[in-house]
Amino acid sequence: MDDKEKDQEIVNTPEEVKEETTLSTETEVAEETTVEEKVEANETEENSKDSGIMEENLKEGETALDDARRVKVVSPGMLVAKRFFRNKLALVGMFILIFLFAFCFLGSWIYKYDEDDIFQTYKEMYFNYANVDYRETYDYYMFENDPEADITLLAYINENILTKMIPDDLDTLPLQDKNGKEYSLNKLKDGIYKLVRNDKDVSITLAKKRKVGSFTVAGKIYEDWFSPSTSLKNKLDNASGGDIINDGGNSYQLVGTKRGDIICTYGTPAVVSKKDGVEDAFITEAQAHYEDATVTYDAVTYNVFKDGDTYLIYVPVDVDYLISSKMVIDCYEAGTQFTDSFIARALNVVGTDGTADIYGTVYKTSTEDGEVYLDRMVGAEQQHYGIISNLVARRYNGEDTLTVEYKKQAKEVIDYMIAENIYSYMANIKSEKMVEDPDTGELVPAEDEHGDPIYDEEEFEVTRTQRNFVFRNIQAKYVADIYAPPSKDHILGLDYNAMDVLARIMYGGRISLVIGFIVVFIEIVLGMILGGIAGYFGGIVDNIIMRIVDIFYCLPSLPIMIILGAAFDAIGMPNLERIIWMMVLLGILGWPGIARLVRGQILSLREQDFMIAAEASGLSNRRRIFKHLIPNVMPQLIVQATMGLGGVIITESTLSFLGLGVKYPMATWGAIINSVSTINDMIKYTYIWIPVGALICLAVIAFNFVGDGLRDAFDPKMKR
Amino acid sequence: MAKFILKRVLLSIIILLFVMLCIYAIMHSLPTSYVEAKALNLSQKQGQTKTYQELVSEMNARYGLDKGIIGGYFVYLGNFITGNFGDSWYYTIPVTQEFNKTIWNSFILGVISFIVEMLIAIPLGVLAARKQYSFSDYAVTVISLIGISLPTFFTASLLKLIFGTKLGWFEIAGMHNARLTPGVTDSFTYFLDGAAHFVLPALTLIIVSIGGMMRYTRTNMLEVLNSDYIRTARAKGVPERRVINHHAFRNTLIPLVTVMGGALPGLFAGALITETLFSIQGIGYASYHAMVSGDIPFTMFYLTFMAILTLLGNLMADISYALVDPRVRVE
Repeated sequence: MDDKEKDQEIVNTPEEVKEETTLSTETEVAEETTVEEKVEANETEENSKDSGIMEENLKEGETALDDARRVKVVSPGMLVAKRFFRNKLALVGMFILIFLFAFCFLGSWIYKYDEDDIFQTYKEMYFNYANVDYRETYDYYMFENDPEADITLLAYINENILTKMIPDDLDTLPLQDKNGKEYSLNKLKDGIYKLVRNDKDVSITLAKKRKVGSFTVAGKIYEDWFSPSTSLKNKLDNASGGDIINDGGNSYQLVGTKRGDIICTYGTPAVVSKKDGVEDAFITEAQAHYEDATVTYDAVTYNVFKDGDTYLIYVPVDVDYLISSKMVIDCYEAGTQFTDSFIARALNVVGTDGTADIYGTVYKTSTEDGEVYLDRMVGAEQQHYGIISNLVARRYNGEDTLTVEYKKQAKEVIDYMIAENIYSYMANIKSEKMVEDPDTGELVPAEDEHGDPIYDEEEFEVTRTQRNFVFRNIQAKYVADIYAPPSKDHILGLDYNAMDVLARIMYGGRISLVIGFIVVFIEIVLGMILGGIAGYFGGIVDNIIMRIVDIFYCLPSLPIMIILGAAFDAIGMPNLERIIWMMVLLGILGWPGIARLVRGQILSLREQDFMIAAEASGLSNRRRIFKHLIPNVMPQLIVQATMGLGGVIITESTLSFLGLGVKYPMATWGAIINSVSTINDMIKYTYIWIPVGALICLAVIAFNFVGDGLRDAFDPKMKR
Repeated sequence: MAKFILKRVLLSIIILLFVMLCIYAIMHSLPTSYVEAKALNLSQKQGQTKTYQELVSEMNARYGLDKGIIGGYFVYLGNFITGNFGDSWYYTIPVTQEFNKTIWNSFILGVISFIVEMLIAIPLGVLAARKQYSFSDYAVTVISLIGISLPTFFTASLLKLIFGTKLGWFEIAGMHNARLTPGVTDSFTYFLDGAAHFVLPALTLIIVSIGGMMRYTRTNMLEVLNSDYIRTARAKGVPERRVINHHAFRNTLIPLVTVMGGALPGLFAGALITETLFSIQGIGYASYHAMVSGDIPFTMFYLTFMAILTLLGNLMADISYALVDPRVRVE
């Protein structure tokens, strides 16, 4: 009973009672009673329990229960509520908040789109279809891949052809690679050149002069392969450095003094090496004519190559090395990919008007209406396999998948444009119809029921830059519909990631609001505990805690959040973890305000009569704090928390706006504005950021209105 | 009084030491990989004379990041007390030099908006309190609540859009038109150009901070108007104008001057978001870019500077309160 009385007293804080009884003016009382009476009718039943206690309470006292009195002591909670609902601003704020919560929490549940749905659309747009030009540069295609090829040699072939062979009208040009190997670049036809390597098929190698051994003064040491005759050996044994010894028609010179080489100059050149099966008669013939340009033996003419004192008797052999050509093969089977070695062989066929068996198929060439064709033998029948020309027609992405039909028409168009010197032209070209592949979403050629391509007559805009022609047509592309303006499907349009802005606002609102509540909860728990302890116990505890509060008060919270946000960014922290960190940090940085408030309140409450009474009746500390002090601090705490919610929402959205808070694809209100962060985007896409910004403002304003209304309702001192 | 100030200053210094410890602890607990990556990044910045190795060893020498928190803190504190603030990694010049370059822009912006804010907020607050529950009171209350609720970045963006782009009245970014060069252009044109760049940032600052001041004025004025001496004055038949101007407003000034005194050091603190969004090269702008790019010397100095300003603000608020209100006794 004792406790009950106390509780009663606490709820009716002395201030309020005083204000109700003494300060109400005449008119206010009148107004209050009228409102009161209206409400009374509905309330009597609900309040019966409350008023029952009160009656009991009053019966013990001396005041009689009359109507005027009854009005003044109606449940304090009701009083606050009444004062609150009389405040128009607070009501507006309340409705905004209810709307916002319904919008974010129910809305996101009802609304058909998710926060990370990406919307795509068919957009009719000029699309680069093909790139056509007459190729004037020479590419090379090697017959066999040569890993040791001299890159410099290959790289300069194009330049050699363009700057030497064509201007000077040369048919052949000798070249050499870094290893000294000789090549000749031969013209086969206009636009097709062949590089052949001039190899030597050496039959005999002769030497006029060479080292045959070595000597030392201390005893002649000879190379194993040198087996001198006895007379020569004697002469050599007796000779010393610098001597020249003649023996058997050859002369030997000892180069060096104590140690050196024995150089032999042959009267008749000696055979160093020979090919298998070379007859002695041939050798004799070669030894006789080694100084001539050629040696003829057995009706075959051999060339002589002099390399110092060595003579090579050889037959020149040309090895096809590569084809360098500006021609391309446009195969009738569109999309066929050729290897370099195939192209080299095929162009060789074309260039030499020859026939060749390439990988099991016989290829020939033919000319028809000025076009050069590469033909293929199918059985005995010669079929056109591809067109050889320097017209390079490719899809814009570089793939060689255009049909020969298209290429032919494109050629006509650009020939016309070159002849008439036109730089832009609308051309009708029959092209294969493209449809979207149902599985991959890519555009693929449409096929009829027989598997043949379907053609469309399409208008192409051809633009020319120098020698290059770009064919563009209007295509419906299925693309992410970024920054789509508001429409019936998407009331607020789509954002940079083609996500529905309205859906993101709803989902973002949930996170923003929830973050606000959690941060404020952390602040209040910390602030209430520490502020409560400081205020209640006072003295040194109070001093220490308040200094801690001072310290936290001095920490600049936004800069710290920015630094940590940048650090979280750098270490790639996952979104959820970030949010948790952010909430904890904001809570830790935000509690000192609450602690100060609680401490101040408790300091003043502690001195009041009811606390003295509580102490006198021997209540425990815990009971005094939780039953008597905390409930009295509650009003201020609720006001502070409501106003604080707005502040947290602002901080969170500012951080997300700067890109240091919650990240894509998770949405918060600030992050949505961040998706149009540059000033240009802001001007162009106002429909994205203005509604979100307005919602942030609305939420914060509503919290502030409600907080303000609550403050006025709890503390009627100002309401005079 | 002197004893009171001395006591407060000493207390502030002790608090500052602990604040610095907190700041240092935050910096110390940044992942090393992050710090090193940023150092590497900034060592390749144009104009950077130091190599990555030099930056890291300088950082360890100056901030003792290779030591424990307490040991490192004293290394940092020692350097800080001896005025050894180091070179900014991002700006590649000594930290204090960069501060010196930017602080006056912040100060000008702060002072202009502070003065305009006071000139608007105080009369409106007084007006609202004088005619409580009138239309103007409601208007002031609503406007101030809205002002408090507007996020800076949204206000700035809106102002840019409306006044910068749609109406084209003011410049939306930077400090001066790039075509004008000081010395070549005549100084008045140059000044006007600078002023045009400052209008929107100042307006942003005023809008977001005016609400608080208005409410504060209104609340205090109301309190004063409800006090006994006002009732006495009215009872004596003092004219209403004199009651308001002479009796009420003067007493309202006490808390206002206290707040203003407390706000003065804050004028040097810069406006982080506003300056960044309008590219006004003040403290806020400079430190935002330094913080985002992981410039540790600059950030440490900036955070400590902010803490000092806050403490100074509290100190000045206390002192001005004691000075203005003769009823306050200093013990």
